[in-house]
Amino acid sequence: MISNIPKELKRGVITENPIFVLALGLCPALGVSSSVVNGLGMGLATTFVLIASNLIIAMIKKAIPAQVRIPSFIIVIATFVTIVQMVMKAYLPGLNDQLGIFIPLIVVNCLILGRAEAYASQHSPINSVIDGFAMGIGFTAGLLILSTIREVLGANQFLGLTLIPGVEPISIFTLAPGGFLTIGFVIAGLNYLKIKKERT
Amino acid sequence: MKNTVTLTLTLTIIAAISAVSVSYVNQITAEPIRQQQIQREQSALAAVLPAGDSTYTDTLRRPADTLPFWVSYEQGIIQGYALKATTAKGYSSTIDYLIGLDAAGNIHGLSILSQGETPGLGARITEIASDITLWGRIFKGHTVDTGAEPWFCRQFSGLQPEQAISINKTIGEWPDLDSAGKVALQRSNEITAVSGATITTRTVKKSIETDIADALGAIERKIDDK
Repeated sequence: MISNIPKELKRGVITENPIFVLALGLCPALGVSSSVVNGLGMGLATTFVLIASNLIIAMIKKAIPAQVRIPSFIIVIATFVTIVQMVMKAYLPGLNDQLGIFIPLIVVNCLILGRAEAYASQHSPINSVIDGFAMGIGFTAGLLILSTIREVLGANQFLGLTLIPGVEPISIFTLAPGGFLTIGFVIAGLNYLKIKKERT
Repeated sequence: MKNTVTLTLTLTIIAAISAVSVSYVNQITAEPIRQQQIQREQSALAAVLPAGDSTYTDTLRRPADTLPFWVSYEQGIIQGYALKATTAKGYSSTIDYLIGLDAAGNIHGLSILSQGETPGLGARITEIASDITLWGRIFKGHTVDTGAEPWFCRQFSGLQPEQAISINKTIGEWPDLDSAGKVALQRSNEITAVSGATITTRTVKKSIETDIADALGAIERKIDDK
């Protein structure tokens, strides 16, 4: 498994991308992807929480009876997110100003609970860490794609810097409807490529 | 029965470990968070309050709200005031702001502390005007001025809140005016609106007009009494 990291990454980023294939974590993805800086920050924070929660849950999975596994997973995830939030508020105030309201949303990001239930509760800690890493990178990559499209079209900016001076951007892309449109078109495009590849 | 006990015990232990670790981290981070808060308030204050050698701070209690305020003194002479106030509901949120006034009662500075207006429209009251393009940054090495003030707040400097502030909708947004245009606006106690965000603009303006004039009088009386 460890030697298969490139294969796992391909799985996490392309074949089982959390946003475009598994369709998990769409709420935070849509909310945060209005600018590339936010998308990147949220993606990395989610990756960290995902790796940590997968690791802990894989380590204690034998001690948790099946009937209470969901509440237990949720407690573990919520604890980590709370710790991340406090550490960010104390030591990374700039990042906290940008992402502060989104961090608590990581708790309800279905991706974290989904991977805990589908993978970490049934595999070894090392494999779970790799899965968490691959899925987290896939989530971040998806966020980068979405937020690049939305920031370029919706704010005429990239990383906060203007692209073409004087051009009025299509503001709807930075708002919710634009988010839905973007994600719909990206999923449609990826599905089209997948079908075309399967046909050949 | 034994099953129920095992389930309850497991869940309780997990919850207990979680509670202990969260409260431990909370203890460690409480002080840095408090310092951040103080630092943020200090820098916001420094931006709007006229400079002096000492500052007096208190709160003004009114029937509808409570306003923290600061008075800046230089050798015992009042240099200016700062107040922290909240507007009525704008488009989608109330807006907290810090406003600084000089001794004559003219606006010295405005700082928006928190708002939840629409991104791209009302939220542009905290936007920093910049004509640095991506290409300029990469190929010409232009750098962004990270200490700049949002233009919406800057245009309030020098205006008199005790008189009516009007919104000029015909000449475009403030950053696009030349300096003569900006001076003319200031003389006629006018501001420009964020285009497409009239409600947000009006809410901030109205709050400054109505609240600040009253508050200033009450503050002056309060510090005379002490």
